[in-house]
Amino acid sequence: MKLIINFVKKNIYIVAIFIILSVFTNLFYNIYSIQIRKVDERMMRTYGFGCEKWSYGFIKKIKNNYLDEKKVFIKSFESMPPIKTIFEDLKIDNKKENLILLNLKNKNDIKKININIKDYELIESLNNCYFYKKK
Amino acid sequence: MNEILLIFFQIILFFIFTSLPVNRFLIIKNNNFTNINFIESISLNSLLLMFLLLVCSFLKISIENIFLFIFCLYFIFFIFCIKNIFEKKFSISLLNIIFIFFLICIFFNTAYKVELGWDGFLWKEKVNFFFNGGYFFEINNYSVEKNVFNHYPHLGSYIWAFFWKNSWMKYEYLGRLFYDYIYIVSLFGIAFSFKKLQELKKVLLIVFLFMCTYDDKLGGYQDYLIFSLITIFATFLINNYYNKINDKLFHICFVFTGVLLPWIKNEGLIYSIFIILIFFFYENKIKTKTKKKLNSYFLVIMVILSMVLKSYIFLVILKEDTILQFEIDYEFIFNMDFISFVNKVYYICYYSINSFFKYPIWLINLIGLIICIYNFKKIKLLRIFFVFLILNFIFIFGVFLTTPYDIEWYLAASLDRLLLQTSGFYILMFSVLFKNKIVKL
Repeated sequence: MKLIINFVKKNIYIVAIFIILSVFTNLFYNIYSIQIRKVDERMMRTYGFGCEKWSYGFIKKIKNNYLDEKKVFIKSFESMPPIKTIFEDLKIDNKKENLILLNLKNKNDIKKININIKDYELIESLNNCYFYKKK
Repeated sequence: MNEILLIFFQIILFFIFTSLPVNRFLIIKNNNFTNINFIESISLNSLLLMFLLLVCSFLKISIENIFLFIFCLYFIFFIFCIKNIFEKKFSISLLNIIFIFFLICIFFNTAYKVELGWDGFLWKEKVNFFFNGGYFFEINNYSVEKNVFNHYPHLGSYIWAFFWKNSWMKYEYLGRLFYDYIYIVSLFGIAFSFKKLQELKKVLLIVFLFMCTYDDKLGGYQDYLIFSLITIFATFLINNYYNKINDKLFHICFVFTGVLLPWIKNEGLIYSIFIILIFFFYENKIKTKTKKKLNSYFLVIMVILSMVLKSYIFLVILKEDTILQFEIDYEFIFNMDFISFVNKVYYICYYSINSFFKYPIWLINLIGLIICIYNFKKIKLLRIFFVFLILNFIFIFGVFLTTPYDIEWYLAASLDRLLLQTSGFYILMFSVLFKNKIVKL
């Protein structure tokens, strides 16, 4: 203990810099958070648990439960970056057999993307997020 | 494995990969290498590693095998080092400890805030391609949404995929920790160029630079790679002028920077041209002892050839327009009336000033430039900063005056990052002013 106190006394400026830097980068909170929350939980907190934010949770659920071939066509009706890229194993479904629609507030908007929704079966939905499969 | 341990493991991995082969314990007989400090050695090795990865990215070899090859190669280097480490004096300074602490702080920050910025998602598409075993020359066959990302250069994404794929737990963010690593290395490089500055003041300087340039909202962006490379080049140039680094090391740094920049971002090609011009200007007009001019011509030709090769690969083989991300509408440019021209200039100036406050390093740079004006004739080296400033702003005005997009949106989305990329170069002015006792720290 005495050694530590002596070190702090001798290097008070260095200790101050360590503290400033730790506070500026939130080091202690970051270590605590990384320890108690796994990556997946942190991803959900960042990109959305369900259909909110960038709908990470919704897409992940669909991917794990319904997409054996990992092929899906994702369309968002609001401006957002291509969320598909977060999932490194998801591929684009050019045939549009699996369809995820995000932020769909008005169902008439589906016509804008040249899809006849009558050909599809609604498998899962959450708020404004929908997962359709071709019949 | 515990995630916290994993991050420490990543720091060690980066250390191993950037401590060799330019290392004073490995090359003891060559005076070129024995006098360089640990940051200069890490900077040069980082450039070398990036170059090695660039070359490997053109080969149809999986990134796991490339990792294995590099690891084995570095292990052999390390074995050669061991004997010398014990023979020579090995000491850990305060700056070494601070360096590690900086890495810990920034790595944990990135690990906690896993968020990618908007453009980070676009870059991630390319990262996924390499992560899933994609081969660079087959990228056109890879179906991506709207197919808009093929014209993006691939080196940054390849490095990201390389460290991601070869990490213990395969968490995506571990790959892009290398961006943070080289950014911190470049900040330390700046501080180390203030040779006679006390260690504590150096640390304060690094903390200050970090606070002025760090932006955790740029997750997955390539801008810090560009920033780091340009800063490392400027550091080597200043150190070379004051005879701390010999010509050979500076030339190696120039070639690597010039070759690598175009493969990181499209504007990297323009920066590469700037670096060639600065190098040429420095070698011919600033340096007093110019005995090997032929050598510098040869190096410039090498960098130009690499740029031609890059353009050939993208334009001819991949059939992508890589120099500009939009088509130049000449009719639009030549028909621009005076009022809209003034309007555009006003917006560029307005957003530039805004960006100066977003990244306050620019406010410091401006003060430095004003001081430099008064010492312009006395210190020849200061001229390179003005040459770079002029080139930089010609580029910025050129891009935004000719853009067919909504200028306000375009400026708001990209000008701050463009300014950040080159900001590290100008801060080295203070090192020159400090050495000439014009500025006291």
